[in-house]
Amino acid sequence: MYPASPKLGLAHLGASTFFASAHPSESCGSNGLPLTPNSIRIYGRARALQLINHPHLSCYVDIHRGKHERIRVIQEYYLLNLKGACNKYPEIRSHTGLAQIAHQVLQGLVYLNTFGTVTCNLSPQNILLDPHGQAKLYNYGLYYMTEAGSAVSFPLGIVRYTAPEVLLHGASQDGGGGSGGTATVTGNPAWDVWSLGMVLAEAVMGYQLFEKCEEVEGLVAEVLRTGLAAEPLKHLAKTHNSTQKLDAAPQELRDFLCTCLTPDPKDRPMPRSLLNHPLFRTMTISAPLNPILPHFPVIDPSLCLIDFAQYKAKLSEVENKGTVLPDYPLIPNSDSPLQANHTTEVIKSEQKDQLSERSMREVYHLWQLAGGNVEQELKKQKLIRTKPAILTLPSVMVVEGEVFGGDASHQQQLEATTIILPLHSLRSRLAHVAAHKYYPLITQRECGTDDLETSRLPLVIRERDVEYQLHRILTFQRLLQAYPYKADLVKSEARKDTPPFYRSLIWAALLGVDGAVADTYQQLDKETPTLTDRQIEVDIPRCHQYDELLSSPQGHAKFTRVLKAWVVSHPHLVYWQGLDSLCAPFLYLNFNNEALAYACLSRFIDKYLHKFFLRDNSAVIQEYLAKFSHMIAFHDPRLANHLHSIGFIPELYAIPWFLTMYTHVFPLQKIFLLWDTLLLGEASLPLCVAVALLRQLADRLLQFGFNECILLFSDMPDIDMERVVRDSVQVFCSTPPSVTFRQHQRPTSERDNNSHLPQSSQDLLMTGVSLAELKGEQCPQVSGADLLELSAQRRKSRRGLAKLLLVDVRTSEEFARGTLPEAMNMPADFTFTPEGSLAPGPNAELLTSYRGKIIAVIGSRNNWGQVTEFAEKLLVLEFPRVCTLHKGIEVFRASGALVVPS
Amino acid sequence: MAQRGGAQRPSGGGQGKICQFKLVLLGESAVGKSSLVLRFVKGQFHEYQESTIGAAFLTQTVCLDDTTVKFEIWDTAGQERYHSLAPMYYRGAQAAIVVYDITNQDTFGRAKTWVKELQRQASPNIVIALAGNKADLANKRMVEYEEAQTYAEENSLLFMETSAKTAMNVNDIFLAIAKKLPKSDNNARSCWMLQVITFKTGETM
Repeated sequence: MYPASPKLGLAHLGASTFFASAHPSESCGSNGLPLTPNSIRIYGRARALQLINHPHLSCYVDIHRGKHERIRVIQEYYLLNLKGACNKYPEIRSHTGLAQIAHQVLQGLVYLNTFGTVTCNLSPQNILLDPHGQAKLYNYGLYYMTEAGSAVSFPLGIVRYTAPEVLLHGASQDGGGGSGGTATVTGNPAWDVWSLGMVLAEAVMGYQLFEKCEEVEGLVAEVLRTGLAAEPLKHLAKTHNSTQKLDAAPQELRDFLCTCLTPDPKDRPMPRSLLNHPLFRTMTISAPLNPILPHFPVIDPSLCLIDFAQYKAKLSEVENKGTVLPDYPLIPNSDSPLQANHTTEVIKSEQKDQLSERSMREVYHLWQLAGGNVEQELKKQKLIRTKPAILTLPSVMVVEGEVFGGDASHQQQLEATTIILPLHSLRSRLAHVAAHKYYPLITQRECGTDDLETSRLPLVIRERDVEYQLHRILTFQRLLQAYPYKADLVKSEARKDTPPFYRSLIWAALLGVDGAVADTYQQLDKETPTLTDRQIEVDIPRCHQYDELLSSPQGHAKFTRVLKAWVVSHPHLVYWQGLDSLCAPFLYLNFNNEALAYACLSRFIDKYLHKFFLRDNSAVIQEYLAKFSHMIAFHDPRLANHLHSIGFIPELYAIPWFLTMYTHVFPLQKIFLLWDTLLLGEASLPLCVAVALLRQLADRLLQFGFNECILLFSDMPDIDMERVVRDSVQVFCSTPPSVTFRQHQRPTSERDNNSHLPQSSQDLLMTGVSLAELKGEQCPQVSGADLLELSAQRRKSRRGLAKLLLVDVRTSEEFARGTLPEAMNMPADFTFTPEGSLAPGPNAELLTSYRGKIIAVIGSRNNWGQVTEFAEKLLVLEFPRVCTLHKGIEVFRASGALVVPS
Repeated sequence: MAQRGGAQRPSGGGQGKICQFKLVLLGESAVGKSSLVLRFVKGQFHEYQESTIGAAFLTQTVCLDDTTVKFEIWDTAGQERYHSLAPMYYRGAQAAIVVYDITNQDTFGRAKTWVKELQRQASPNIVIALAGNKADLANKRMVEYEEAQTYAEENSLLFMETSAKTAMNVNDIFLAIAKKLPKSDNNARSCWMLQVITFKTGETM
């Protein structure tokens, strides 16, 4: 959410692709597990590049992993690069123009250095110029994502601009402190300074450097020779007959070039110190040089000042951007004239193009929903060429699985071409959306998707509908920006559905994450070894590993840190296996924001799994499971009787369901669907989910014996999650709240303060029931308050439709002395035949007519056995929704609710 | 083999007996308990086998001469904290496989504790097997074969080094247990039951 990701503006979405190097087959790491494919290493690292947000660095929009170790990168792109711009615009190839470019490139480099990396890939092709003449580094993340090139088989960078020491020693060496080859690879910022010098020198001299060398060997030799020269700049000028041109350049520019081309990397200055070079005396910095970490909630007093500075910088940027370079190539030549016209029109009427005001990531998301597919585009534009499979077969394969021959040559180089993702179909798809819809007015009540027809269609359709998602994104963007002040509105909107684009933040909002999230996380000790480390270490490499992000080394490292942070910050709780699974959805959604993942995890456990991670949690879990048994009996007596008869108790299968809130049972995509609703509900909703799950499988379970039942759950069958979600809400709504009461649940503020209530009201509330009692009973207990509430509802409803039948099972004498209004007397001793069926009579008929409604069995707490026995007999007769009055009819004495039946 | 064996024949009598045994797997986490079961029951191996929470249940039948032995296998969670659940699973078990990882000395120590607990708490006639898993990683071995073997002999345990990955000794260890189990008639159940199970798990030995 914060900082906002860059807007599309006049940029294109460019796609490029390359191959990660493949491991030799069957090779294993030191833990016996197969080596992580390099494409996954790259994929995991590349995520962080999306955090980069600087006017002189092209935005990384998305990264995909394809088949055969292919990586596809989607990045902000412009059709003009430095080389083209120098040829086209005299003002850019002028000395001041070049100095301006140098200044902007340096700013980009400094930002990257603070971010913790270098580009190692600087060339005129990778310096793009946007229509306002601003330099934007392109493809600068290659060094970072490939871990200094170790995950690819091609060399990074173009030889003629590469620093001599890189050519000599390779780029995996480390520039600053730390060790090379690991995740701490930072590279040496001075390498880029050399490259910048070469790029600028070339532009000043107006020649391509070392043009005559065709062989790579020759080029390398030339670069090394330049590096060995006492004065590399003079050497370059001499060998390219450009001494005159160089002498024509201002002294400051020449001095700058000389400094950049310092042969010894130790003496060469860093980008940051070069910003103070006299050449840039009159120039100002375009934007802050320090990366701003993502921040949620957006409103945070500590950030206001930065925000303000940013805002001012933005304003001045907008002013600067006033003019577009004349005749700038806004659209590729290859577009058909019709499309071209359309696009030019759209771009010319910049004021009206709402899409350019949206962030690139959002536009790309919508583009995909509109049917856009990067792989298809790459194929269409010949960047991916499919070959007949027979041509790719290897010629020799040894027993160990290693192959030789075949066509692997394409992996050896980096394809420098970028293609442009055509946005016209998305634009025309959204053309009719009125401009004011892009700025939804958030009033107290409505936020405006209700008028769309799509809003009444099933979720799967809504999730794939471009226009609907656009509206949802616009609405939620507004609401989330106003979080926590609009928390209620976020919740009520999320009840409709959750747009996947903002799921991570919506979840955080639903969980009520607030405060100094980043600071809190930063202060936690995530490094010091603890006794839990081995367990975390063995659990992570098997937690949702089908997912590319979570299986990447970056994913594992983040997993470890978030889990360790949670363990260290909850000293009264401990790590139970399963906590890893619980962490997975949050980490997946907040991969670039560990602090938020941690905050969400903590809040989630606090609400839904209160006390579950105590060192001794057996009382908590046993109570939960007992409640689950009661819920099955309450909602599905037939199933409950069957499971009871075969001894299929929840202890044997439901512990992972509840302990991990289903994250150990279902894949991530299903969990998202489930949790979208779970997070909206009370802490008791998960019990209802479990009932809904059983209900979906009831047909099978009813036929199965013990072994088949447990086998069914050992390997969870395919579940229609949308139905489970629907059913669980229905189950929740038809369950009196006290039925799911647990003494170990998190006390809410109201329940906490029961003590101030008069004794008569306190009697009516649910209190803790001992585990032995819970387990000894098959039907749930219901509180007096819930019964009164349900009876009241009955009186209110128009047709007198009863939701509830009160059955007083005491003797008729006791009944006559006082009972609840509308209670029916069915003395326990006379109600059932010896075979257990209902003895015929008017009351038995009435009872049968209430099958399906809530049947509350009421008796005395002094004869409790009678009450539970009665309820269980009804359960055997497959009466659903049977419950017993908690603490007996005596609870109503003080409140005066009892009447003498007429 | 199951089909050819006693499955088609009625139970009882000297021939074609069907015996059902409850077997439990115990051991430190990530030593490969679930992988051993998966290899034995389905012939599969997953590099990233998920952790087990609570316990998992699987069945498999093997044929031994003229007896069909059906294992009901309880695969338990390894983390020490789940210890309190373990008795629920090993109670009434006729056999147990205690697993350790040959590349990790600590897991061997933990295996010894499990053996002690079983000897104290489980049924007196329980057949205990010790499995040194991950034998394919012999170059990272930390527990010597002889050390484990001596320990197994002293405690009269069956012992094998296994590899769920290469399937080495996996079936063998279950077969060895089957051989050692007493096969009296009161273990026998109907053939029909057995066929359903065989059909469900899909694979037989």
